[in-house]
Amino acid sequence: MSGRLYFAFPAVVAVIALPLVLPFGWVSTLGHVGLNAIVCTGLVLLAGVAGITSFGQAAFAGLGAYTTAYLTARMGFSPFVTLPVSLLVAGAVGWVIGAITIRLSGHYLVLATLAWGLSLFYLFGSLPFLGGFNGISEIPSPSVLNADLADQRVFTMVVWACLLVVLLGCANMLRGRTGRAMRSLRFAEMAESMGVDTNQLKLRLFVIAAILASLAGWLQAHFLTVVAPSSFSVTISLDYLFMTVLGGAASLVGAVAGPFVFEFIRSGLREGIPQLLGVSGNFELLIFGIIMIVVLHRARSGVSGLVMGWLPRSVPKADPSAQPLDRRRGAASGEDFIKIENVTKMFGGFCAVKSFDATIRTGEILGLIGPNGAGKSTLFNLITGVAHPTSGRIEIRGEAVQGKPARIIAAKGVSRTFQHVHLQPDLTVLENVALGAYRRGRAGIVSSVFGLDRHEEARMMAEAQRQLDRVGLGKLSGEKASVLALGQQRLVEIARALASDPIALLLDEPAAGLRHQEREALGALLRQLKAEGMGILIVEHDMNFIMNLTDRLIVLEFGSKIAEGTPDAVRADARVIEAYLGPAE
Amino acid sequence: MSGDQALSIRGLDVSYGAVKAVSGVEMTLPIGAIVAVLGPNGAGKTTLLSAVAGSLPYGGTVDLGGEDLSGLSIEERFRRGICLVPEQRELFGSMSVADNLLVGGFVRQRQGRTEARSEREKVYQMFPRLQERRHQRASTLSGGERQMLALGRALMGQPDVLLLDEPSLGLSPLIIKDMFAIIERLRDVGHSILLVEQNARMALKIADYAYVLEQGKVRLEGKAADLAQDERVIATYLGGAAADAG
Amino acid sequence: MPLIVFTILAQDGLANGLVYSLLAVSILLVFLVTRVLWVAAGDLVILSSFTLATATRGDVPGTVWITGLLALAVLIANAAKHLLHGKEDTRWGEHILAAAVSAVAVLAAIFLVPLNPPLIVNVLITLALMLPIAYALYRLAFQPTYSASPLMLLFVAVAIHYAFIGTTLLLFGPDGYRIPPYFPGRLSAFSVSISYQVLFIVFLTIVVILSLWLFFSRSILGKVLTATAVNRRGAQLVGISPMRGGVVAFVISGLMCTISGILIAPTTTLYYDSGFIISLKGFIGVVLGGMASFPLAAIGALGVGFVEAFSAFYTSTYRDVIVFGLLIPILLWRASMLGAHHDEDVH
Repeated sequence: MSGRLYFAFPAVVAVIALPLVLPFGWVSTLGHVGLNAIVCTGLVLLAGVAGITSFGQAAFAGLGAYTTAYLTARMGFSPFVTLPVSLLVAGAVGWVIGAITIRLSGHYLVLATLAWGLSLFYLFGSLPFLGGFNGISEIPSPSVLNADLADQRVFTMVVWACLLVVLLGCANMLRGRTGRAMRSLRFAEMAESMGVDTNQLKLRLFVIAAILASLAGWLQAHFLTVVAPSSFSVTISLDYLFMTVLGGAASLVGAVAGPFVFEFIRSGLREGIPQLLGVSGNFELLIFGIIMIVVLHRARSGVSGLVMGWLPRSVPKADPSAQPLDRRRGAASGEDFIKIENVTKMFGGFCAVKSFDATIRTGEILGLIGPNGAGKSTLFNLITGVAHPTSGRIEIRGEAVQGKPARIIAAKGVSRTFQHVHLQPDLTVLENVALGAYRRGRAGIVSSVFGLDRHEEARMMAEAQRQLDRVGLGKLSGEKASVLALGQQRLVEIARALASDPIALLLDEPAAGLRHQEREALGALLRQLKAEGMGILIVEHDMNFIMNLTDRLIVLEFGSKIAEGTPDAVRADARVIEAYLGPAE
Repeated sequence: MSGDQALSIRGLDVSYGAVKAVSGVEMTLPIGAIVAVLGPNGAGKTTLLSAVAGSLPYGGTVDLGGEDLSGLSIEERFRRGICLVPEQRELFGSMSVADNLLVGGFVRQRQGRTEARSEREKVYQMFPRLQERRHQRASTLSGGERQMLALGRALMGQPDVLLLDEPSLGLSPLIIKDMFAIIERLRDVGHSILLVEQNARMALKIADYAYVLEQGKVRLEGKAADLAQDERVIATYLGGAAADAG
Repeated sequence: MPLIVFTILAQDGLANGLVYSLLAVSILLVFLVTRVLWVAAGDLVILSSFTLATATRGDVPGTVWITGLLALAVLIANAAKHLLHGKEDTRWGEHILAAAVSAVAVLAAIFLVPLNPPLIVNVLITLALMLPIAYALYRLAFQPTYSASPLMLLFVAVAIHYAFIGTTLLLFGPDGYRIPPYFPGRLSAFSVSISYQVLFIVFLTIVVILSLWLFFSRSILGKVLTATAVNRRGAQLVGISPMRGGVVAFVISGLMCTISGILIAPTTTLYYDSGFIISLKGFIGVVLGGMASFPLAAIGALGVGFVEAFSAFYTSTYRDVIVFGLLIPILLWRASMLGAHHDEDVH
């Protein structure tokens, strides 16, 4: 994403200078587009990155606009003072609203943003001190060196300068450690297992989007010198959303392209249709609706989806000379690291795991097998904190962790892979692996935005590359994760798990989809990790693989442990054979 | 050539993205036979059935009684007489047992109410348990009853070919026995059945012919009675040396 | 509050609430069968009420353009699919029926309406004009994307809503519409007086809800539709195409929206862009019902009508803030119930 932006920036800089030469009518359009692009940037962060579709962005713009309008026109404050206040108010309201609604999912979340948007809109229109449906007028416009923001050309240049700063900051943010985690938010289960607090991160993005909308609102208020509720209605929110869809929510480029295309279609329709048909009338919305339906049918990824393929892509690379990341204090081999005591998991009346006991020791490979539906995945989820036991106790180094979320368990040195591979398909292989090291870094949003995280980034990338080399995929580090074969994707997951510097490694069917040689290599790697003192729990269906690899095997059937012991002992166990093949008569 | 085959599968390939889950599978299901598809977890059995039923795109051909089914949706295949009973059963949970059955027969008996009722009586005869429970919601049934209802609902469409995915999954041993007896009876009344099962011994007992899948390919095939004696079958489940132990 | 005020407010609430509940039921039906959040349902209500209002004045409603052009578009789209992809289309009977209904409706509207026929004829013409629209919208806009993500479907619905606003503005202008009550006068008993209009709304809503209930609990088609809503894949497995269900759901929903429009026409002044807000009031009911229960959705929407009426009395400026602000605690409550049952759903 970032490399494409370097392409886009000169264009944006050129646009900033454009108002000086363009005819007046065009300048006005350009300013309008830039203003919308600022809001849409927030929407790309929300919809494209975090997977939250907001139908209420116009209301946040309204918060910014009304805050400054009230403070300047009614209270006599200087507009320069009110800019931070506007952003703060929108950010604070966004934080409260986000904290309440962000946990909702799917249709509930969509409807919730709609409800907020509507409520705020009606509030603007009905609070007496905000001027009712007439709004607030005679807002002063700030001026510096004879350049007045109410002047069309000045306004347009200021808007595009703001947009440039916003885009740069967002691009930087998305590139860094926190940005990688943000870009994994749509894969929440995976992100949580990498130690990411997904709800908190979503909330931050929600607040950032609110602040961006509020910035646009502030600019608009001082340019128009009036604010009225109709500029912040849900219809306007829908416009922002359609711009983002038109541009393509998957990239920041879309945030700029969308408003352009939107404006082009809208004004084209407004002026073109009456000329074309020789009739005057309001065809604009009708035809716009039809065009949107066609776009949604034919080009779902928007403009940026169409052009992205042509633009060069910058691929983060690892510098091997970077200082290695600090390591966790290792565990002594043979330590009882995870203890599972009498754990039961019920789903309604169905008992998925029944009074299960096991110990995962460091320096040992423990296998977990059993027929389909035996409860292996459930058990895996219970240990990693994705699900919580109905009763029983799970300890990590003597500390009870049952009921704790996945990210807390990850932080204690338990790292995992997934049965159904969970990689971020749009990130490179290297970035995916670096996500595993999330907990080992500290850089947050602010340091990323200002590019202060270079040093730590280099260390993380070097670590990611080291782990990729280890699983034999070092050469593929620059590829997109989605182009890899399934077997390779599984290995990337192992590298990602290793990048977190775990004490225990939990592998869910790591050998599925691997070719014979790859299996051999995987086996060798796991043995080496064991020798280094790592504890490994492995669920696998390839019996040859697991029998040769493990020190100890546990067999599950109907949620209960039916056998435990060395592979040879388990293989000879009559109950095990019966579980797999049915009763012999 | 395929005159006495209910179903023939030629060169079937199914991929998930770049990964081949099933490759080059050749399989035939004679009319009025039970053919078992065995193999460990992840061998591609369910994928195979889904492709044949029309819910996954595939390469190769699937032939139903001589007609190539390429390009037909799952609904269109059902109308031509091929019905999948999936592992998840996919019942209409909030509807009564009786209504589940009625809906199952909708496509076949859309004209006649009485025809649908009489077809439902037949299903009740085969599964008296369902008749007892006919007013109960499907979601309140036990595992065995759910499987019976799934089968009964499929039968309402009078299919020639039944694709059964793990009918014994999650059932207790006693009910599994009943279930296999029912499957044998379905064959006896003329249905051709492709049976995916993990419970290899039981499946081989009632099947006429069997294929063993491993990593998406057919590893072994033969008469069920022969395969029941074949130690290589055990090996695919429990690893190389299992033969000595068993 | 004096009793007289109370009864007036209660009647207002009842009249609007019942219309909202019809809308809520129709939105929920569409959602369960097709996963579309049908935000344009309110626009259909508006269109229906404008159509009837224009017709009762003896003018040919502009709706004939929509009905006619959409019917044409469906025919062209089908022919194109047939010619370009060589796909055999087994639904010609259905297409011809839809086209015939559209043609009859358009002709009736053009030739009968100017003769100032009795109200009932105008109502029938309105129904005949509206139903093919709902049908065509599904065929043109949703059937091609029926496998798309719910969010995409929502966007398509919003785009249709845009198109509706534009069309209604174009054909009916920016003025508000309201027609005289069908049954003027009031019924007085025990010092309480109820307008006949409200009684009529109550009566018709009960009839519609009852017939809908009969349809779903007695008819095989209703059961098939329920089955599609309950488990799409299960329905496919027994040969029922989810697209068929979609068509039926859209047409039934179109019928209910039309009836809502006819009922609301004399009670509220409506504008070309009032549809979205009306839809949202229906949605509040849908959410109250957990996006699953028809009776709860209907009762919830009825409640919205009452809250609206009484909050308008106490604090008319904050009426809409209160109505939509209500949605948020309801959403949170529903979502928390979802969370509590989540474990069971997993299994």
